[in-house]
Amino acid sequence: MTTLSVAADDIEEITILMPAGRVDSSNAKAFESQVLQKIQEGRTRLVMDFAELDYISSAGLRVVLIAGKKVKAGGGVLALCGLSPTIRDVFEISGFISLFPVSETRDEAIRSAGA
Amino acid sequence: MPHAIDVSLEASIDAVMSVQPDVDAFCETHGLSPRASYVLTLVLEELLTNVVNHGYRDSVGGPIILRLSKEGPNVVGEIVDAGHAFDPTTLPEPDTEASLDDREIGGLGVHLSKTMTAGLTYARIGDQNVTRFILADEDPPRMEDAS
Repeated sequence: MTTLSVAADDIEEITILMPAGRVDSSNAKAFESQVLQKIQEGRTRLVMDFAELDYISSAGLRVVLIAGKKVKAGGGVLALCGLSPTIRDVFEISGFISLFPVSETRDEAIRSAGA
Repeated sequence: MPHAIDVSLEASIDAVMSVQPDVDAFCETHGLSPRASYVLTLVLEELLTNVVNHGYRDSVGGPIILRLSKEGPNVVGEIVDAGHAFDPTTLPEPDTEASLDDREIGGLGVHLSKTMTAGLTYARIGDQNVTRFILADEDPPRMEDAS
Protein backbone atom coordinates (compact mmCIF):
# COMPACT_ATOMS: atom_id res chain seq x y z
CA MET A 1 0.00 0.00 0.00
CA THR A 2 1.27 3.46 -0.83
CA THR A 3 1.67 5.27 2.47
CA LEU A 4 -0.85 8.03 2.82
CA SER A 5 -0.03 11.16 4.71
CA VAL A 6 -2.72 13.79 5.15
CA ALA A 7 -1.94 16.94 7.10
CA ALA A 8 -4.98 18.50 8.73
CA ASP A 9 -5.24 22.05 10.03
CA ASP A 10 -8.22 23.74 11.60
CA ILE A 11 -8.49 27.49 11.12
CA GLU A 12 -11.62 28.66 12.91
CA GLU A 13 -14.49 26.88 11.23
CA ILE A 14 -12.42 25.75 8.25
CA THR A 15 -10.50 22.50 8.08
CA ILE A 16 -7.66 22.24 5.58
CA LEU A 17 -6.67 18.78 4.45
CA MET A 18 -3.43 18.34 2.58
CA PRO A 19 -2.83 14.84 1.21
CA ALA A 20 0.82 14.29 0.27
CA GLY A 21 2.19 11.97 -2.38
CA ARG A 22 -0.30 9.61 -3.98
CA VAL A 23 -3.94 8.77 -3.50
CA ASP A 24 -4.70 5.59 -5.41
CA SER A 25 -6.59 2.29 -5.18
CA SER A 26 -4.30 1.05 -2.43
CA ASN A 27 -4.92 3.88 0.02
CA ALA A 28 -8.10 5.70 -1.05
CA LYS A 29 -10.08 4.00 1.71
CA ALA A 30 -7.68 5.43 4.30
CA PHE A 31 -8.09 8.87 2.74
CA GLU A 32 -11.85 8.45 2.82
CA SER A 33 -11.78 7.47 6.50
CA GLN A 34 -9.77 10.52 7.45
CA VAL A 35 -11.97 12.89 5.50
CA LEU A 36 -15.24 11.39 6.73
CA GLN A 37 -13.94 11.50 10.29
CA LYS A 38 -13.52 15.27 10.00
CA ILE A 39 -16.99 15.66 8.56
CA GLN A 40 -18.46 13.49 11.29
CA GLU A 41 -16.80 15.78 13.83
CA GLY A 42 -18.92 18.56 12.38
CA ARG A 43 -16.29 20.09 10.12
CA THR A 44 -18.27 21.01 7.02
CA ARG A 45 -16.18 23.84 5.68
CA LEU A 46 -13.33 21.98 4.07
CA VAL A 47 -10.39 22.89 1.92
CA MET A 48 -8.49 20.13 0.15
CA ASP A 49 -5.08 21.54 -0.71
CA PHE A 50 -3.46 19.38 -3.38
CA ALA A 51 -0.16 21.25 -3.58
CA GLU A 52 1.71 18.20 -2.22
CA LEU A 53 -0.26 15.68 -4.24
CA ASP A 54 1.74 14.01 -6.99
CA TYR A 55 -0.93 11.64 -8.22
CA ILE A 56 -4.60 10.86 -7.82
CA SER A 57 -6.72 8.27 -9.61
CA SER A 58 -10.46 7.68 -9.82
CA ALA A 59 -10.31 6.00 -6.40
CA GLY A 60 -9.26 9.34 -4.92
CA LEU A 61 -11.69 11.34 -7.01
CA ARG A 62 -14.44 9.16 -5.59
CA VAL A 63 -13.43 10.29 -2.09
CA VAL A 64 -13.50 13.94 -3.15
CA LEU A 65 -17.01 13.47 -4.55
CA ILE A 66 -18.28 11.68 -1.46
CA ALA A 67 -16.80 14.39 0.74
CA GLY A 68 -18.36 17.10 -1.40
CA LYS A 69 -21.79 15.53 -1.16
CA LYS A 70 -21.60 15.04 2.60
CA VAL A 71 -20.30 18.51 3.23
CA LYS A 72 -23.07 19.99 1.11
CA ALA A 73 -25.65 17.93 2.98
CA GLY A 74 -24.30 19.50 6.15
CA GLY A 75 -24.73 22.99 4.72
CA GLY A 76 -21.02 23.41 4.11
CA VAL A 77 -18.57 23.85 1.26
CA LEU A 78 -15.65 21.82 -0.09
CA ALA A 79 -13.08 23.98 -1.87
CA LEU A 80 -10.05 22.69 -3.76
CA CYS A 81 -6.70 24.33 -4.41
CA GLY A 82 -3.16 23.60 -5.49
CA LEU A 83 -4.02 21.32 -8.39
CA SER A 84 -1.06 20.61 -10.66
CA PRO A 85 -1.77 20.96 -14.41
CA THR A 86 -2.23 17.23 -15.00
CA ILE A 87 -4.32 16.77 -11.88
CA ARG A 88 -6.43 19.71 -12.95
CA ASP A 89 -6.97 18.00 -16.31
CA VAL A 90 -8.01 14.80 -14.55
CA PHE A 91 -10.54 16.79 -12.51
CA GLU A 92 -11.73 18.65 -15.60
CA ILE A 93 -12.22 15.49 -17.67
CA SER A 94 -14.12 14.03 -14.75
CA GLY A 95 -16.41 17.06 -14.69
CA PHE A 96 -15.30 17.98 -11.18
CA ILE A 97 -14.13 21.54 -11.85
CA SER A 98 -17.74 22.70 -12.09
CA LEU A 99 -18.72 20.87 -8.90
CA PHE A 100 -16.43 22.66 -6.48
CA PRO A 101 -14.80 26.07 -6.05
CA VAL A 102 -11.28 25.50 -7.41
CA SER A 103 -8.51 28.01 -6.92
CA GLU A 104 -4.77 28.34 -7.24
CA THR A 105 -4.01 29.37 -3.70
CA ARG A 106 -4.96 28.13 -0.29
CA ASP A 107 -6.07 31.63 0.76
CA GLU A 108 -8.60 31.79 -2.05
CA ALA A 109 -9.83 28.31 -1.16
CA ILE A 110 -10.21 29.30 2.49
CA ARG A 111 -12.31 32.27 1.38
CA SER A 112 -14.46 29.98 -0.81
CA ALA A 113 -14.94 27.49 1.99
CA GLY A 114 -15.98 30.19 4.39
CA ALA A 115 -18.45 31.81 2.03
CA MET B 1 17.04 -3.02 -27.03
CA PRO B 2 14.21 -0.76 -25.99
CA HIS B 3 13.01 -1.53 -22.51
CA ALA B 4 9.61 -3.19 -22.54
CA ILE B 5 7.38 -4.76 -19.94
CA ASP B 6 5.83 -8.20 -20.29
CA VAL B 7 4.63 -9.48 -16.94
CA SER B 8 2.03 -11.77 -15.49
CA LEU B 9 0.21 -10.38 -12.46
CA GLU B 10 -2.03 -12.03 -9.94
CA ALA B 11 -5.50 -10.52 -10.13
CA SER B 12 -5.39 -8.56 -6.91
CA ILE B 13 -5.13 -4.86 -6.12
CA ASP B 14 -1.83 -5.47 -4.33
CA ALA B 15 -0.33 -7.18 -7.37
CA VAL B 16 -1.58 -4.40 -9.62
CA MET B 17 0.01 -1.74 -7.44
CA SER B 18 3.24 -3.74 -7.13
CA VAL B 19 4.03 -3.21 -10.81
CA GLN B 20 4.42 0.54 -10.24
CA PRO B 21 8.23 0.49 -9.85
CA ASP B 22 8.53 -1.31 -13.20
CA VAL B 23 6.25 1.26 -14.80
CA ASP B 24 8.30 4.08 -13.25
CA ALA B 25 11.49 2.52 -14.65
CA PHE B 26 9.84 2.18 -18.06
CA CYS B 27 8.90 5.88 -18.00
CA GLU B 28 12.42 6.84 -16.98
CA THR B 29 14.11 4.64 -19.59
CA HIS B 30 12.04 6.17 -22.34
CA GLY B 31 12.29 9.73 -21.07
CA LEU B 32 8.53 10.11 -20.91
CA SER B 33 7.27 13.55 -19.90
CA PRO B 34 5.85 13.93 -16.39
CA ARG B 35 2.38 14.19 -17.88
CA ALA B 36 2.73 11.04 -20.00
CA SER B 37 4.17 9.18 -17.00
CA TYR B 38 1.16 10.23 -14.94
CA VAL B 39 -1.34 9.28 -17.62
CA LEU B 40 0.32 5.92 -18.21
CA THR B 41 0.27 5.16 -14.49
CA LEU B 42 -3.34 6.27 -14.28
CA VAL B 43 -4.59 4.28 -17.27
CA LEU B 44 -2.87 1.15 -16.00
CA GLU B 45 -4.31 1.55 -12.52
CA GLU B 46 -7.81 2.14 -13.87
CA LEU B 47 -7.81 -0.69 -16.41
CA LEU B 48 -6.06 -3.25 -14.20
CA THR B 49 -8.24 -2.55 -11.16
CA ASN B 50 -11.30 -2.92 -13.38
CA VAL B 51 -10.11 -6.38 -14.41
CA VAL B 52 -9.62 -7.32 -10.76
CA ASN B 53 -12.95 -5.85 -9.65
CA HIS B 54 -15.14 -6.75 -12.60
CA GLY B 55 -13.49 -9.22 -14.95
CA TYR B 56 -12.51 -11.69 -12.29
CA ARG B 57 -15.29 -10.81 -9.88
CA ASP B 58 -16.99 -14.20 -9.86
CA SER B 59 -13.95 -16.38 -10.15
CA VAL B 60 -10.61 -16.97 -8.54
CA GLY B 61 -8.31 -14.31 -9.94
CA GLY B 62 -6.33 -15.76 -12.80
CA PRO B 63 -3.25 -14.06 -14.14
CA ILE B 64 -3.38 -10.71 -15.86
CA ILE B 65 -0.77 -10.18 -18.57
CA LEU B 66 0.53 -6.66 -18.92
CA ARG B 67 2.66 -5.65 -21.87
CA LEU B 68 4.10 -2.18 -22.42
CA SER B 69 6.40 -1.03 -25.15
CA LYS B 70 7.47 2.18 -26.81
CA GLU B 71 6.90 2.39 -30.54
CA GLY B 72 8.21 5.66 -31.88
CA PRO B 73 6.55 8.46 -29.92
CA ASN B 74 3.82 6.18 -28.60
CA VAL B 75 3.51 3.94 -25.61
CA VAL B 76 1.59 0.82 -26.56
CA GLY B 77 -0.09 -1.12 -23.79
CA GLU B 78 -1.88 -4.44 -23.76
CA ILE B 79 -3.76 -6.09 -20.92
CA VAL B 80 -4.86 -9.69 -21.34
CA ASP B 81 -6.96 -11.61 -18.86
CA ALA B 82 -8.98 -14.80 -18.85
CA GLY B 83 -11.90 -13.57 -16.78
CA HIS B 84 -15.44 -13.66 -18.08
CA ALA B 85 -16.11 -11.48 -21.08
CA PHE B 86 -15.80 -7.96 -19.79
CA ASP B 87 -15.57 -5.01 -22.15
CA PRO B 88 -14.43 -2.00 -20.13
CA THR B 89 -15.43 0.33 -22.95
CA THR B 90 -19.08 -0.56 -22.41
CA LEU B 91 -19.21 0.48 -18.78
CA PRO B 92 -21.69 3.34 -18.42
CA GLU B 93 -20.06 6.74 -18.82
CA PRO B 94 -20.37 9.04 -15.85
CA ASP B 95 -22.55 12.10 -16.34
CA THR B 96 -19.88 14.75 -16.17
CA GLU B 97 -22.48 17.48 -16.51
CA ALA B 98 -24.51 16.43 -13.50
CA SER B 99 -24.77 18.68 -10.47
CA LEU B 100 -23.09 17.66 -7.22
CA ASP B 101 -26.37 16.29 -5.86
CA ASP B 102 -27.11 14.26 -8.97
CA ARG B 103 -23.61 13.12 -9.68
CA GLU B 104 -23.23 9.39 -9.20
CA ILE B 105 -20.18 7.89 -7.64
CA GLY B 106 -18.21 5.66 -9.96
CA GLY B 107 -17.50 5.14 -13.65
CA LEU B 108 -14.57 7.49 -13.95
CA GLY B 109 -11.78 5.00 -14.53
CA VAL B 110 -12.64 4.02 -18.09
CA HIS B 111 -13.78 7.55 -18.96
CA LEU B 112 -10.36 8.90 -17.96
CA SER B 113 -8.61 6.07 -19.81
CA LYS B 114 -10.56 6.66 -23.01
CA THR B 115 -10.17 10.43 -22.92
CA MET B 116 -6.49 10.58 -22.00
CA THR B 117 -5.23 7.97 -24.48
CA ALA B 118 -5.06 8.10 -28.25
CA GLY B 119 -6.94 4.83 -28.65
CA LEU B 120 -8.48 2.35 -26.27
CA THR B 121 -9.79 -0.87 -27.76
CA TYR B 122 -11.21 -4.10 -26.46
CA ALA B 123 -11.49 -7.48 -28.12
CA ARG B 124 -12.64 -10.84 -26.87
CA ILE B 125 -10.22 -13.35 -28.38
CA GLY B 126 -11.01 -16.96 -27.55
CA ASP B 127 -11.52 -17.01 -23.81
CA GLN B 128 -9.46 -13.90 -23.21
CA ASN B 129 -10.17 -10.21 -22.82
CA VAL B 130 -7.61 -8.14 -24.71
CA THR B 131 -7.56 -4.43 -23.96
CA ARG B 132 -5.09 -2.25 -25.82
CA PHE B 133 -4.26 1.42 -25.62
CA ILE B 134 -1.95 3.89 -27.25
CA LEU B 135 -0.54 6.82 -25.40
CA ALA B 136 1.12 9.60 -27.35
CA ASP B 137 3.70 11.62 -25.47
CA GLU B 138 3.33 15.13 -26.77
CA ASP B 139 5.20 16.92 -24.05
CA PRO B 140 8.91 17.56 -23.71
CA PRO B 141 10.80 14.87 -21.81
CA ARG B 142 11.45 15.12 -18.10
CA MET B 143 14.29 17.58 -17.54
CA GLU B 144 16.65 17.76 -14.61
CA ASP B 145 16.77 21.53 -14.63
CA ALA B 146 13.68 23.43 -15.60
CA SER B 147 14.63 26.23 -17.95
